Amino acid sequence: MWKEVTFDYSQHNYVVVGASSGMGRDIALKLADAGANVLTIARNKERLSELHDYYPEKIMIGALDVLKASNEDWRKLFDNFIGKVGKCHGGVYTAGVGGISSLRGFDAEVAHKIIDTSLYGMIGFLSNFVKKKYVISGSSFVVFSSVAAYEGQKGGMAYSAAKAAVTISVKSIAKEICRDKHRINSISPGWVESDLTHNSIIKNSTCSYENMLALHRLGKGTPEDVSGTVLFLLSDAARWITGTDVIVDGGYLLGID
Amino acid sequence: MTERKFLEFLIELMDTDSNLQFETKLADVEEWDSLSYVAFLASIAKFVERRIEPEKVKSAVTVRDLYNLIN
Repeated sequence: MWKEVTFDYSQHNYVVVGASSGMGRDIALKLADAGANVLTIARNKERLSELHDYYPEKIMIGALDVLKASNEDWRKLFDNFIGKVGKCHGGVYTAGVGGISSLRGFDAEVAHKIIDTSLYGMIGFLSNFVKKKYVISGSSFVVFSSVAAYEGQKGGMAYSAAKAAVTISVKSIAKEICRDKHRINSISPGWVESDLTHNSIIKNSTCSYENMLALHRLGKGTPEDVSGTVLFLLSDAARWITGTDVIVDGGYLLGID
Repeated sequence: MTERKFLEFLIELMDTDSNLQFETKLADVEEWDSLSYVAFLASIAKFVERRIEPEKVKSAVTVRDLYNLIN
């Protein structure tokens, strides 16, 4: 938890997509701990059930694959949640997959999956969720980009493309949704321990893991190093922030001395 | 497209909770903004084969004027 800040999200309702692991999971837990009702959405129902067990009164679960979900699939989950707790105050989209993509040995299927999960899945979520019947006016949405949006890692062209697409599309979306006083921002984390980064260590030998870690001047990140910023962006302390990207990377993008 | 379906389509597109009727003036609907008319053109293309001219959509005054463009 954090020492100087305590969030109070009682009487608030949120949807967190990609909540079964990593940063999404921590965000869902922190929101529930702060008193919010949270609909957690992911493919892995078992992992979501574990989340639910932490806060059985607060955390609701919905199994959905962002790559396959139809509009009806999304809306069914929202209708059910809103029916129980009332309209929402915002949402968080954290789903993302990594993977190597390079010109040599280019795998279109992997590249599309990377972009579809981070970008089109996010758009599928928002286009179905940001509606008067689901969210109150003045809601706040946070979606996940990455430091990869700012630099092209060797072997990471699809991931960097996906995350850069997220940060720029957030600006278009912000212009569209401000008519209902809604806000949307992206967050760009550096290296945070999660399933995604763990898999990337195993498969990635294009850059030195030690060198990359050393550039994180404040050390390797944990989900809790990032979720605080997400909860802040969801709060009214961030009520004048929209259409921007917040870099939370332990100093990584500062580069070498 | 039936009248009822068209109203449903328009309400969903604009995400409005105002009581939209065929006589409703578009200018009176808060959600009929600069984005709505391009979104209307893009979505209606799925239901209508012939091309609708943007100027005709822009000059529509009522909901019925929009409906007449596609029928």
